[in-house]
Amino acid sequence: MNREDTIAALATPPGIGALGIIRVSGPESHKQVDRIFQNPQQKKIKEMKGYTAAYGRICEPESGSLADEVVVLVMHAPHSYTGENMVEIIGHGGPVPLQAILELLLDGGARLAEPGEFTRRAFFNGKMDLAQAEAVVDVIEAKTRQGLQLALDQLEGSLSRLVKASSDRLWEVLAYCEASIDFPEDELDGMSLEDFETYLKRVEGDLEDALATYSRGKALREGVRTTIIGRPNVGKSTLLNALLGEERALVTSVPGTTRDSVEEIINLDGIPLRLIDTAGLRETEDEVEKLGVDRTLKLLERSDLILAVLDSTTGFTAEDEKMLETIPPGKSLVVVNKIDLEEKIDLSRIKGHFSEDEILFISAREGQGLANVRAAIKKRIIGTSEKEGIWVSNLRHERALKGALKSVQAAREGWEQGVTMDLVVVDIRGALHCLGQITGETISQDISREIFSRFCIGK
Amino acid sequence: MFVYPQSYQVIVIGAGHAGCEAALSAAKMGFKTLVLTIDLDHVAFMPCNPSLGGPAKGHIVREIDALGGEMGHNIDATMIQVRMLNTRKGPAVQALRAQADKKKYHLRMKKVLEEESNLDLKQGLVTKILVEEGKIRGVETATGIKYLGQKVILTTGTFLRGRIIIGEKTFEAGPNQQLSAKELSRSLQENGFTLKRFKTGTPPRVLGRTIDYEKTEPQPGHSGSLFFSFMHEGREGIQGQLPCHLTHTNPRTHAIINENIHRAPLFSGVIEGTGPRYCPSIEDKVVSFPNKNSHQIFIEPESLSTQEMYLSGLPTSLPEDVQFSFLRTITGLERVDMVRPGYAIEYDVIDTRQLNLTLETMHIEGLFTAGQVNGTSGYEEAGGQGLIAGINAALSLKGEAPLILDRAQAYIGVLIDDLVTKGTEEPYRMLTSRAEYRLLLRQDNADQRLSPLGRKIGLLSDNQWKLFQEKQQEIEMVLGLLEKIQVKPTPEVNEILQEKGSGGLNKPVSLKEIFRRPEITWVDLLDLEPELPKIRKGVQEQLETTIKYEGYIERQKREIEHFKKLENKLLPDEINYEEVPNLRTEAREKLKAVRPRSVGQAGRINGVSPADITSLLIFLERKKRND
Repeated sequence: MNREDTIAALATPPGIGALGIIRVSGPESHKQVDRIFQNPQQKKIKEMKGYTAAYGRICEPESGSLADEVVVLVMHAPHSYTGENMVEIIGHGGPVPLQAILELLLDGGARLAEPGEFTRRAFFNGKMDLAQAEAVVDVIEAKTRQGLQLALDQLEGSLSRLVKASSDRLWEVLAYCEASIDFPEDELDGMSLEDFETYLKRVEGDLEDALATYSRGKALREGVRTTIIGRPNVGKSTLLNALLGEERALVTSVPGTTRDSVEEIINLDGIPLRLIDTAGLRETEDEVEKLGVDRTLKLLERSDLILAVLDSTTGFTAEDEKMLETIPPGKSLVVVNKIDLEEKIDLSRIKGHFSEDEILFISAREGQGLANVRAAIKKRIIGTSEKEGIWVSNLRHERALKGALKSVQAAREGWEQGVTMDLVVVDIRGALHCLGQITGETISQDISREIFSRFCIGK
Repeated sequence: MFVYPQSYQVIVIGAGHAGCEAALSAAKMGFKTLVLTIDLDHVAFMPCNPSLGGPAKGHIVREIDALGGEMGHNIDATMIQVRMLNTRKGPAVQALRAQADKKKYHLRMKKVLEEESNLDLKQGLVTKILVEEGKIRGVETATGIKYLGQKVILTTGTFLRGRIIIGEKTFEAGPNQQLSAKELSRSLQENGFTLKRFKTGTPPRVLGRTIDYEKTEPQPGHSGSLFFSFMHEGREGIQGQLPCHLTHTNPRTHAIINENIHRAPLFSGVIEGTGPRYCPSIEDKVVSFPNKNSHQIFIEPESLSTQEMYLSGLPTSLPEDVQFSFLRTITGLERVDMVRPGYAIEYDVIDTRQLNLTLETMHIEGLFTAGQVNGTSGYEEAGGQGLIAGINAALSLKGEAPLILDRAQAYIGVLIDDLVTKGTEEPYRMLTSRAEYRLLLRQDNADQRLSPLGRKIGLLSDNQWKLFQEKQQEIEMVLGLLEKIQVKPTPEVNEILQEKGSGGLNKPVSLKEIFRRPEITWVDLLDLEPELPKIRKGVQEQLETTIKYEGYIERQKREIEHFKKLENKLLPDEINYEEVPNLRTEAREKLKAVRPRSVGQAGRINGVSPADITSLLIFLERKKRND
């Protein structure tokens, strides 16, 4: 256990509440939050007094894009729950903004807290009495067990197969390096230095693929951000209501991250959809409307799925045209509504942008074609590609994969630039260490076994 | 029973590579020391390969030297070939390997022991350790002499119930057919030690003049100032090196081995002990890697004073007639005369989880064990342990804190920590891959890591200490210069840089920054700044490594800081693991058996989980508050 670093975690139960709290603790917690916190009075967290609060915005420091509006509560060591410098960030309760804040903190160098770690730190810093200490153990025990079950569940999935394959390849590279370092005069069969780059590149690709599924996996856990877009009166609300009405599985209704759109959550065969109804992309000189358009664009960017609604009874407008150009084809479905009425739309205009199974025909009012919409949504979310079933949904796993990818890249780039083997090995070991956080394998115990089973060594 | 009139402070059983280091260090630290050996003509004998060093092993020799041990001096004085291995794989894993003149090696070390004023070297086969109330009192020999001593260091190598196996023949013997120490094994068991059986082997020896060297590939030594001891840095390299020769087995060799595999004791059940994976016998290699048509064999000279040659790569316990037949199938060995057959040897070793990190046994106060009897293999591993056992026996007599090297300080630390914490299931060989902080445990900086410690305990000689200090001053001085001297982006400078395949400058930078570039050597710096002082090679190497590796080294240093936190959290001797709540049963049993010194060490025990460590930490904290 390391008490020098700074940890962060969600302190309120996951799910949707009115407010959510992210707790940050450790020597750098003030600095970490200052990096992403903007306050109208230019207040700096580290200059604030203990147990005072400030209102402000959490933004991505480089792009400036907003994650959430928050209140921060500042504590100075030793006067805090853990006895360390702490900040509590109180944000809107939805999992999406909270997750975004947490990720910003982790990007800045904080580490995701282990189960029970805040309490553990509190204990070791003398902030807790003996009776409470007993409880700590129970908490840790319980959380570990719960965590283990989760880990097992995850390991049954294909993620573990991918991680296993990547780590096998890295083991092979590592065993080769270590064998050639420790037994420089032995002949090593089975691998050559030329294979090196190929192996590392393959691992890089696999890890990148796995990471690409993170947003999808996360979506499954937290709700697929689904935006319904289209001109006024094309039937967006009717579609929304039809999907809602048919499912009769409305979970809750909460204010979304954009103030003027309404978010509904439905359960589509186990997939939670967070439906957001939004204004279209009308070209306008009106300042207020312009702001709305900007917001919509941002919303589209952050959506996991976009349903673009067209009216079959009218022709293509310039606005439709702009919408079809704007929405990213990879995550969009075109829904042509009102097919129970006279058809005037020229479909050839759409077909250039979208494939046939991405265009759906419905009558939201009559309930016609809704089953197809549901099926198409499901297919789009779950996918049918060869990577099907690999879902990185756990933030811890995502961090481990990212760490591994970074190390593998460093190893390959180092190798290409002629960095010596003893250093390249440091990065390969680093990558295996990260993957080991998913698989539970440790390097120190297994490397010699690996060497001797692969190579005929010894004089 | 005759009680020897002189009573000793330290008694060392065995004069192999562990015994010699143990005895010399205890004697040099001021204690009257006795060494008993079965055969005075085998002091510091090399019963297997006549060579020392290589990755990790060479590092250990440098560490022994940096602490004030003898091994480095002895090999430097007696080597007949030397090579620097892994030169292209990076400075952290570069290692010296030398061929020793094994006769001279033995003779020189024997003389060093004889000349040490505090030390008595005698022939005697120890049959018993004498223990009173859990404390060691001395030893008894086969010829009926009792030697009394306050500390005893057991360095019996492969002699405990040693059994040699050649094909169908087996006989009780130590290495090279010396006497086996049978009774001592029993004495240890009677005193509560758990013993297990290990096996190792050695190849046949052949007569040099019957080898057709023309058909083999010569492997010459490397020129230059290559020495193990830091005392010899910069000295002119050894002259008249002898080459080794490389040849290979072939399918005909393997066919003979396969035809006779039913006669191999390794497969017929005659051998019970566990052998090392990194040093398999040729029959083992042929069976385990059937697709490999050829295995390499290095022909190594044993000594200038004999024609006997060592066949590295061919350890075997096949019957002598089979050895004779397959040898002659090998290119260059068609007419070869085998003068000693290869053999396997089985011997008793101590389960090292019965030791403390000082190498003192838990059962008997004042008894230390070191070397092959601890389940290791290799002269260097033995020497490193012997040195630590000798030092700790002496420190204990002085009433001072023991010397425990940790995993971030030395390969010797990694070695002893592995043995004591995890035990070993096969003869343990040191590998660089066993060290977590390999970039810092280099052979070039062993002096920086350990010489201050060697000096503090009173082992490092005045001469070596003076040299060390001068070197450190030089490093600091030159490092200061490199940081201070700025190189301006003149056309001349950029031309020089481009000649070296390096990019030009567009603003002034320090020489240190330029030295950081992988393609720039010390000599290149002299071209840029002729005023730089002349410095010795050891200083150049260390500067180059620390500057070029700085980023990686800093990273490992940070890891070490974390590592040290748990390492410095010591577990009290009197801790009762039954009282620690929430430990899993397996962890509780393991902790009780190993009795780790620190929380860090506890975490490395197989079967102790992070959750157990948390429970342990909570227990300690609660105890602290109650006290």
